[in-house]
Amino acid sequence: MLRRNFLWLASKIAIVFAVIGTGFYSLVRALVPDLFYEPSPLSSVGPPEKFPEGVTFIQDRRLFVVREGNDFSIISAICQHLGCTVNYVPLAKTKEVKIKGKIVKEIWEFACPCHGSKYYSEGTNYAGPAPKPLPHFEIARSALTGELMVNTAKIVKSEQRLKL
Amino acid sequence: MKEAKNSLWVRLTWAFNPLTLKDAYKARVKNFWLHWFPPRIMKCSVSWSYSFWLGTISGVLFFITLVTGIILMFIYIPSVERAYWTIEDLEFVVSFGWVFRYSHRWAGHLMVVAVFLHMMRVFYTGAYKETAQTESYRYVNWIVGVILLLGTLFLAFTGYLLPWDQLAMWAVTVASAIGKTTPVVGEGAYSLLVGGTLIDQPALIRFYTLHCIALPVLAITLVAYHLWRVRKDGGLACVANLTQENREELTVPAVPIASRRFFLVALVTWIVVLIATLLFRAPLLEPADTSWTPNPAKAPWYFLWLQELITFTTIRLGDYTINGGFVGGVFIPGVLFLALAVWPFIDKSPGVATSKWFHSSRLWQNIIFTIICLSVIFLIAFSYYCRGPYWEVYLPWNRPEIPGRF
Amino acid sequence: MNGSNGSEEKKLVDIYKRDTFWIYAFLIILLVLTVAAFYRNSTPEWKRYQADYKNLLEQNIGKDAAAEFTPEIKQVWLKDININKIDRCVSCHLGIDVRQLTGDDIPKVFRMHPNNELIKKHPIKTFGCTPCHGGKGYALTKEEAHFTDSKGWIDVFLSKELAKKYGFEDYEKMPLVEINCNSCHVHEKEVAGFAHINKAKKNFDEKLCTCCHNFYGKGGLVGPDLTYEGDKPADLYDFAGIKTWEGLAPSVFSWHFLHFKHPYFVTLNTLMPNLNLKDEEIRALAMLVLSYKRVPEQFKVKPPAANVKAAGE
Repeated sequence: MLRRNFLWLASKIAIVFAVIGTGFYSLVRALVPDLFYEPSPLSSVGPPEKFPEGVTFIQDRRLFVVREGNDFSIISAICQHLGCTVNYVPLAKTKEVKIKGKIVKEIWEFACPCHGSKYYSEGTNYAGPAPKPLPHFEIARSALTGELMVNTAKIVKSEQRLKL
Repeated sequence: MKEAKNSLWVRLTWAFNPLTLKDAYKARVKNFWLHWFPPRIMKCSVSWSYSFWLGTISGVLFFITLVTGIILMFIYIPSVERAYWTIEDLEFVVSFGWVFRYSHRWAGHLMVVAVFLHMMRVFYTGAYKETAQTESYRYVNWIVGVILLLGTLFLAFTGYLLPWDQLAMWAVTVASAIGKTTPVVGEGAYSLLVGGTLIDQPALIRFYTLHCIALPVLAITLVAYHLWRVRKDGGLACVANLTQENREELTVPAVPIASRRFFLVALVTWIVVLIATLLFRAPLLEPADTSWTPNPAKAPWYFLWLQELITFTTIRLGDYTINGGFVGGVFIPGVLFLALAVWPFIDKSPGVATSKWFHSSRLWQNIIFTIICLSVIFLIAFSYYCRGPYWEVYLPWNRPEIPGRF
Repeated sequence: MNGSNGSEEKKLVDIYKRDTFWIYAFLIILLVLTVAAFYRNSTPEWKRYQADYKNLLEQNIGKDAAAEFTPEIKQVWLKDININKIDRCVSCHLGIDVRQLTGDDIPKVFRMHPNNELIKKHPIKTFGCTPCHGGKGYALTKEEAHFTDSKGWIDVFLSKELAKKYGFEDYEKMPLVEINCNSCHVHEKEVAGFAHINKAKKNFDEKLCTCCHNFYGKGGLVGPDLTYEGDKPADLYDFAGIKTWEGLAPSVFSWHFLHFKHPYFVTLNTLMPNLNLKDEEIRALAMLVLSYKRVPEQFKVKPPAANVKAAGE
């Protein structure tokens, strides 16, 4: 007798929750975007031949492709302070700085026009209000098309290079 | 199950499941959702065959349009360039987008039907008249009801434009041109509504604001008054002579009898809307284009009777043509709605006629009212099925279709 | 009063009980309907295609390629043409620009676009799919995207089936697409690769159409202006003649076909002469006329002087 009542009660509760739950779920799920009118995180930036030696700015993805010989890396152009796009600043004179214990000769750096944050070429923030260095994104060569693929959802170490 | 008695489930739901009469009365006082109900309600109010719960159905449909509408507002963009494509995104890209869009449309159209039937029911039962119990102002509620009927039509009309497809734009062009023919206020009202001389971006944003904010706020306020008035007037007018003596016999505790039936009505209404959503697609024609008009251009179905009236009242007498747009589109419906609104003052039937369906003392009014309602319905059906290209009359199965491009 | 309470309460409980039963019955129905709605929502066509594609990549190319593939709605946003022009064909036609996916063993939907030379000049990233093929680019089901039932919708999908329906012998090559090609290549006298339109343009000049018809500001005023004839909505044609002609599907294309073949059947008291052309040439002329659409001038091809189409001489 007790079990029958319990089953009856349990099924009543289950049905009500199922109905209400699915109702609310669909309301919320409809508002989670299924499609972004933006480039997807994993996308191509173009064939490696297209990139000259040095830094190339990709405007619509807001990142820099850095080519050193046959080594490629991608660094974000979004300032870590409040999100402005940083500028690539080639230096007039080579600067010698100490990064992570090693002396490095800098020929370019990045500077943010909004509040004056400054970054070394490998991303370390050394001046201004920026709290973190500029991140490097994973770069790979597409197995399908041979083009360079950037994945803005994967951050990698600043030393990492794609060697072609 | 004694342990279950104080469980969380029982504590949350005891008000909806009272086990004794005392609990039933306490529930109404202590629970927020139930506070609208009176302590006791007349049995005839709760009966299916008196009111068919049409007022509740209308209210539930309104609530459904509110909820689905809010979700749609997160996605729809009221710009003439983008509106159409956001609707197509709802169809293909947004998860459950089609559920919300179709439900919104079917709930809206069903609401127009439901409020019309509700109005008919109140008329046939003479429920806009005083009953011999308390001091009541049922005629005020009837007038508020007529305003709500017009509000419902206007809500449906403003919503119709928003998809910005050929169906929407030309239907609204036709219907607003009808309104423009009203003397004195026509031109000004048209200018306010449309924000210009053509239906374009200004019209779209005005219709959008009317449809999403101005009219719903007005409707909710009037519905709140409408329901408060019902309570103040002693509930539904279904017992002509309610006295202290027969009170106990003729009434039942509102909670849980009425509240449970209310929930049942809401549930079935939602199910009907969901079935319509699953079975029928909401139409969407090609994007709005001012360079050509679909042939024929029909007003939304609830205004088709006006389009027919205009056709019939546009009569050529030699050199002079009667302005059917005004006579059929504004004057006749205007007179009808005015007559409807002031009918409580014209109706001289005795008090005993209230609360009964088709009371003999109201025979003539009922006949005339029925003829008018049936004519409206007939005109809508005729216009929908029998009018073809160039507004010629065809048999519904013979209606020609303009061929397509390929 | 108190004595009747017992039976009255029992009657109330009966109403109450019946309503409760119906509430649970309808809740179950609602649950079934909700499951149906969820089912319809969660199994969209494109997801199935993308799952199949991932397997295909793994089989044919390798695990790396399959890992690179993210299942999501893919689209080409042709902002330069129109802010709303979005082609989602690539959500199913995933191999359209993948060199390795050619060959008869690959399912048609995933195959690379044939005619590689053509695609190099009209890359998918800038042209999308619908400017050439028509159809509802923003749709995500095959039925909607490959939509041919026009009823006023100007831009139908110019499929092989449509070409077959109108008697094109080379329907496998989707000849109707030339209509959209010519909407940009309209100023060129001859374009390599046009199987039908080149001959049609020659006929247009040889038969001296611009004696009576105006075209880009030059020509006669006897017949209607042909500059944007392809944009004319179906409502503005008179189909009375078509309906009596056996074997012709009533449509704007058929109207033009019959108008070139037997002008007097289509328009009463017409001055349009019978051109005495073969059916094949007439079909090409119908395609030519339907290609005269409003396209922003920046998209129209500006040919060198030697290849300019005579706009009325």
